[in-house]
Amino acid sequence: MMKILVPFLVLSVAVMLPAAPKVGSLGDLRKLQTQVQKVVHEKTAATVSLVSPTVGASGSGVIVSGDGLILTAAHVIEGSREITVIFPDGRQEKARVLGANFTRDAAMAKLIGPGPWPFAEIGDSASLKVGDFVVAMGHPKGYDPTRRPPVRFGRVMTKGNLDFVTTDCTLIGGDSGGPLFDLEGRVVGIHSHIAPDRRVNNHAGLSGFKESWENMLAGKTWGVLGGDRRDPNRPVLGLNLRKTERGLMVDEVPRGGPAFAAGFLPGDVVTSINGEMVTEVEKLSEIFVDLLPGEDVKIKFNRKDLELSKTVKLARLGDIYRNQRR
Amino acid sequence: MKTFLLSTVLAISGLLGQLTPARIPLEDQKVTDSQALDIFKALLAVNFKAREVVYPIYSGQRRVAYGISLGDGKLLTKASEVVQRRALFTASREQVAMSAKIAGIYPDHDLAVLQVPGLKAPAAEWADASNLAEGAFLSAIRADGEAQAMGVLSVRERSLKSIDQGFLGIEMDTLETGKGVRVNNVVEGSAAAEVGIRRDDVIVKISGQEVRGFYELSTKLRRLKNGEQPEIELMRAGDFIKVKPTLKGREIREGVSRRLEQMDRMSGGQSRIRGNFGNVIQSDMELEVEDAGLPVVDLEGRIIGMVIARAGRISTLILPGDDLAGALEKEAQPFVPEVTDKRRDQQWPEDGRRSRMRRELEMMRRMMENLQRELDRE
Repeated sequence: MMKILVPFLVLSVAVMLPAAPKVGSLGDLRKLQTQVQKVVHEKTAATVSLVSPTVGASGSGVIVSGDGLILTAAHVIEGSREITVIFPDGRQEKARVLGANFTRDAAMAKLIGPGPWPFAEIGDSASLKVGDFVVAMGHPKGYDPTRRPPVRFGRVMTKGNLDFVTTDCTLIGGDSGGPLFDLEGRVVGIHSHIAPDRRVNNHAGLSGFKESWENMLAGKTWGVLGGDRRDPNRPVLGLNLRKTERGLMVDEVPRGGPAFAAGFLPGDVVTSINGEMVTEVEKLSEIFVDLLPGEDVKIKFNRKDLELSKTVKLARLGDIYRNQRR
Repeated sequence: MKTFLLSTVLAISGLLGQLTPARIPLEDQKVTDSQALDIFKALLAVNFKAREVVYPIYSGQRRVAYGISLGDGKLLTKASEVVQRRALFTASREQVAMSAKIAGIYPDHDLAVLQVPGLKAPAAEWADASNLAEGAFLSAIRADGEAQAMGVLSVRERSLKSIDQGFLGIEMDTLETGKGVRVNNVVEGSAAAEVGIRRDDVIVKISGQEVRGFYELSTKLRRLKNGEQPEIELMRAGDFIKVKPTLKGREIREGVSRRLEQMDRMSGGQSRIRGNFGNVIQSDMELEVEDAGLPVVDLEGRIIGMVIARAGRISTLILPGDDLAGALEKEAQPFVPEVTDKRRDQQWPEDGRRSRMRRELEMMRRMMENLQRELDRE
């Protein structure tokens, strides 16, 4: 897990720090060890290896319900409709791939048998703070019958966009899709990607999973790994917005887009989408990460002194673009 | 047996880089550094046994490993990190250099015993590590009593030698029919061939348990040992047949994908000899190649083993204390310091290109040492 970096430590001591869980004595370490061992003992059985029979790729996953719902990373199930699930004891089962939001690197699958299956409860990542202790498991380098899922212990190092969480629980290929647990044994993240720095191991946060939950459960697959503003399948309103002092102001309403059909006009100021206040274009993109073309969104906006509200059906970026060109 | 070349998946930042920082922001780093300082301070309470027995090992200007005292002026260290180096020495607690000579080696464990005339240090007291559970806190203790790293027990004691695992000698069909595993081919001279298993037989049970696919069967076989005799039930043209093969050792080396190698390489150095150990513990402690030889303690302060290899981004390998005690009961093999290149390659078979590079480096180092000496003389 950790390693001491002396020069940094000397620098940091004098600084006032926000509260991170403090370990001040051997007694604290023993308590922490007991918690970690309990998580491992109880959640190992739910930490599965996933192999795509068609693609041959191997990743990990975690079962989060007694009826066999599996959370994993989108890039693990890419291109598969069915996957082989291997339990730490060697038992092999089949699961059907449900949906995935690639922008969040989040995906779901469902075990085919009736169960009941061993599972871990889900937690949330939004409440995680820098310094919080976490436990990572998975099947690094693929399923290995000579061992159970290797345990890694670490802390939240920082938090990224779209609910991604960075920890110093070291990960490697095959871990993708595996669970990050809090000390209560709740799944708070799903392993996604790494950087060369061993302290930078990134997990898709469970709070992000929850935002896309219903669409993934319904079998929908959307988004692009890493996000891509040019993705033709991206849902759009057909509004060009600009941040002003008064809020997000409509600059342009492309013909053929849903906002055009709904009667939006340049000069309108958008205030909220689906009940969430928006004052930044980035916030808008964040909300859209969990939506698909064809879904209705409720937009509140101001036109001169009027407060108005309209429901707009989201379109594909590619469709509007094509219509505009015609 | 069919060896899967699984392309194990985990993305390297780049694709997803814009969503997560490549570097940890300074204000967050301050929080975790200060927390680490507290943890390492608390760990000082567990160093009492280890700090007395650990010594750094130097060659020239560089520390190349650590050694653990066996009493009588002997230090135990990782053989492959010291055998090709000249002028080994350690430092007493008063920081006096004391020269060290290789007195013997245990090639199976990649261990070397160094003799340090005049070194007065107590012998390490090895503890049994077999009852430690996954998630146990471990730390590697330096001579100053500080932990060089802390981590958890990731994987309990196991053999990394494939030859220890049961090998039946069939190529399995990976197609999942839900019932049994079809034999695609039988390896000549294997355990399967000896009992007359044939192509197109369908293995349905092993040791009384049903097998539904490739992974279940291969898991059961690889968890059996070389020499075991499981009862295997198979179907051949509608008939049930029972056989009892004597398993041989698995000699197949698992291929490692280039992507995985890249991930391990980008994450720091790896020990030249880091596999094929008969019994090791795996930990997530973040150490470097030259940290081999550090004593590892649990939260009771017991020395549960010695760091034997850095084996990639997620793995540090530890020889368990009870195992070390057992190995040390036997006489060490004599070490021949002036081995020829050829014999050296035989002695350390995982060698090859790296060893040539190492030797060239060694030559350059010698040249530089000579130059330095000449400079000093002037």
